[in-house]
Amino acid sequence: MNCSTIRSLAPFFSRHGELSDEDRATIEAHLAVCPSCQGWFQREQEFDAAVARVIQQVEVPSDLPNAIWRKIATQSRRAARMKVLRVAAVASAVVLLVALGWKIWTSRPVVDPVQWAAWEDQRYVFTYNGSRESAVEFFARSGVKTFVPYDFDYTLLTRLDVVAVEGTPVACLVFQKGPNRAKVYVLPKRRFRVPRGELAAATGSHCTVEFAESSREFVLVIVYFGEPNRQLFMPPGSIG
Amino acid sequence: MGQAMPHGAFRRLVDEHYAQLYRYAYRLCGSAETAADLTQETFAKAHAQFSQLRDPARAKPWLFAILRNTYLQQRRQEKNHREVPLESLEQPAASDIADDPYDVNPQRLQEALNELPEMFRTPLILFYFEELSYRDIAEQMNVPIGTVMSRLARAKSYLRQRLTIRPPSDERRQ
Ligand SMILES: [Zn+2]
Repeated sequence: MNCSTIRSLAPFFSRHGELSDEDRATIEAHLAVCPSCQGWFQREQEFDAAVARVIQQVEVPSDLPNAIWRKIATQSRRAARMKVLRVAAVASAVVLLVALGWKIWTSRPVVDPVQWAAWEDQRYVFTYNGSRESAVEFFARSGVKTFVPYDFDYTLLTRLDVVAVEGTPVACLVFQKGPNRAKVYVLPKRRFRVPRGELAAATGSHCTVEFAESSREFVLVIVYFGEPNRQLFMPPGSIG
Repeated sequence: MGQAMPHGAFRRLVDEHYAQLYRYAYRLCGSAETAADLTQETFAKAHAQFSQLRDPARAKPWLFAILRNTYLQQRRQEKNHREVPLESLEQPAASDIADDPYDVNPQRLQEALNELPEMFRTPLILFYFEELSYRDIAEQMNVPIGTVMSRLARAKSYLRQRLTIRPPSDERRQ
């Protein structure tokens, strides 16, 4: 080890338990043969001893232990109070949550069979009674401004409904012929954007959807379950 | 209150360590009043967290660490403390201990400590107190031992320079 390494170890050398016996012996051996380091170590130790004497000389106030215990007592009281407050806060939060949960639980809409039957009656159109006029009357009664398309066979009409599409009430007509069904939604153009030009069609896993121009103001969305053939649902006379 | 805490054990902790903690606090902040507050606050925190002290043999470094953290927290709130810039705390060359006479005047010593940034002040104080091992100091400051030693060397060099008696013509500090 060179002189500067030896000197950097001085703080370890001056303390018990900070150096291995081996390193201590190495330093001692160096000091024995290096008067420069020996002098350096001695001056360092003298300076340290002088500083240590003064730095440790701090008069400790005699009532400090009492002050400490007073502080601990005050703090314990405060901690106990805080604990009570915390428990109270948690308890009231729990009560509030339970009350809120109960309110949500009990405010679910009531369903009963009588009401349900009334809804169904209102929407159901008997097939033998089925006519375009009955549909027009139904939507007028429902308060939906809509257009009832002409070129469908209304004897196949099984159901009329008003459904919310993106928040807008929309007329929905269901036609059934044997196993094939067509669900027709009448969308007002001023509430929905439909791509210009050729109206597109798409096939899902259970249905086929077709967009059809119906009037200047409305677009038809026809959803086929079964055979996706518009002609099946047209009035008999119109099939060419 | 309410905690199942061996009262006798904590009383012993206070009796054994309050004086040295106060001395450390005093040298850290340079004020008797603040040092007393820091010591009380330290024991109040230690009392509340006593269950976290797993090894009673580590009580001393644990208390010193609580005191230092409390000091740093409080000082962060004050903000107007004056310290020397780090650049003036150069790493001393191992050979440059001059044989100049020095005077370890208590007031000048405390002034010099106050001027040092805390990261240098704490290793210096704890080195002279000989209360904690270098490993404990490093752990409490969360730096490697080598860093503690180099800060100690720079702090010592600064201290020596501040305590050196210069002829009046060479006196640059008041
Ligand atoms: Zn040497």
